[in-house]
Amino acid sequence: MDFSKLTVIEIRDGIKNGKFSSEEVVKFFIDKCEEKKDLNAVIEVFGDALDRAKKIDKKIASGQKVGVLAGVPIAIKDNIMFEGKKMGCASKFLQNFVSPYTSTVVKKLLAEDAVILGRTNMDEFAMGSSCENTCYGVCHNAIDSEFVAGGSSGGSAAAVAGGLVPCALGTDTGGSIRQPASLNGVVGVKPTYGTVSRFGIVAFASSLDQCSPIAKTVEDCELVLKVIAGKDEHDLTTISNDLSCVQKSKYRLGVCRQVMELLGRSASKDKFYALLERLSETFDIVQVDVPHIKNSLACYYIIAPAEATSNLARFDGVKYTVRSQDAKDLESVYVQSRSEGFGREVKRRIMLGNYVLSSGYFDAYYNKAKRVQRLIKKEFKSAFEHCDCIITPTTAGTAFKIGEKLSDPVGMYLEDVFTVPANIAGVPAISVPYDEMNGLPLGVQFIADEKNDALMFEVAKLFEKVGGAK
Amino acid sequence: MDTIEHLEFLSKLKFSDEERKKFEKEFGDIVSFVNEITELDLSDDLDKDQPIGLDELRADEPSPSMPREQVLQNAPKQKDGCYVTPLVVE
Repeated sequence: MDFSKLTVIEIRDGIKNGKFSSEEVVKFFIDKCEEKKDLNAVIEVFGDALDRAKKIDKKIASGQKVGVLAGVPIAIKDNIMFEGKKMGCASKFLQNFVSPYTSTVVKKLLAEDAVILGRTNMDEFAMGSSCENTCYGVCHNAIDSEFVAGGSSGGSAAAVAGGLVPCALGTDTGGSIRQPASLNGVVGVKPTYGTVSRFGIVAFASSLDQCSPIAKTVEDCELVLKVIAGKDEHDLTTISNDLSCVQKSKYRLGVCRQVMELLGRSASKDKFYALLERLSETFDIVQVDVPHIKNSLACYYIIAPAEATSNLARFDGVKYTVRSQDAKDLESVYVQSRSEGFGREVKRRIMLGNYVLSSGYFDAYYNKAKRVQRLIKKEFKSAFEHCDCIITPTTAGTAFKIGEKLSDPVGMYLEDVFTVPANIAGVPAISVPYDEMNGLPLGVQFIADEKNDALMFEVAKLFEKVGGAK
Repeated sequence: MDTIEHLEFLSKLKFSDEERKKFEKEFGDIVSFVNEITELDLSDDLDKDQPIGLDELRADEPSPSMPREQVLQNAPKQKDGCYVTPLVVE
């Protein structure tokens, strides 16, 4: 049986009802990972996945109560810890690192009897929008291998789109789940900040990072998000966020004027306008304003590197990274090891972070960016007085060719222009496929108010029915 | 010391001359991109509250921490339950 087309829920129900076993399912996906090795999406299949599947099958056969993800294989991004397994953040600096403990998200998946299939490719330390900055080699787009998978959770998105796994966790700091999901034609969500515990996930920009699923349908993402969400005593930024369903007879979508200006003359503009036209039968569509949304990206490239620079200070060649062979004294252990271990994009962001935090620049950049962030949050709040969700394209265009933007960092940063605002404002957002252009998928994004994730899921599910890509 | 070298010092990174040259150009592009923030006029008085509320802290109670072997398991060099670095004090 070909399981690659099935959703998480279909697989879960099939296993529960005895139509097939978890062992068959997991075996199928392990073979798929081998068959599609050239995608470079899944970089390691965990050796004990099949044993775990057999155990779950036994548990079901013996009539024991099982979890809501019983027997379903799920992959994790290479920055999420699972005790005893390798984790490398796609960095040669962390080669041979073995997780000393398990992240809260993985614990929660295991508690619901999921099978952790393996780990997925990513941009080094989650910095990038193409999955090209990786020590494992470029991850390819699942629809057309000449194109990028997007990033930084490119491996997770390509793995789901390529049928290597029904669901994979990613992390999203500025669009790292939604952008690759969009470029690969699958669904990716970033919840309200604090919904999911960051404990056991390698920190990039702690005030913006969220971990969340990528899957084929909105319903699958919702199910898995519900499993991994919740307050955690190990992450004091977690909140209680009620994800239970709220339905309305009609939903109101806001089209943000400033986003439309940013969309300008981009290639996908006509497609997006045509979509809005189609949706006007099902949804009320109104115009809203988030005047400073256009400053989100610059704001992000101050706040995120500032946080990254201190988060990445722990990688010093002493505690857990590779130590330079040339290091003679303590200072050179730090400097040599970091210079040899980190890749170009990571170095760029560490330097930028130190620049915006250094004396003389702190007020002009970092403090100012935090003020702009508060302003953007406030503007989003006002916009949500007029609509349930704001609708935007996820990206301005489809996937670009591998290598095309590697020597143009600012061009690469612009990939995230529509996804970054949700991280800056801390609000939930989801990308759902809606059309294609030149054979490559296009995604649309729904952004909701803080803690309105459940409402966002309802809108996205309705959208899938009436306007989603077939 | 010029800016790039100063940032290398702060970042505990060292570039080769060739790397530095390339980096200077890219860094210039990035800084001019984020400069739009410095030029924004924020005249309205924004409240100064922290975006992340930290009002719910867990109880300050001792609990077991991770075993030493696990903490050290990824260290490139270790001895007698400690990290090993080059000599710091003569």
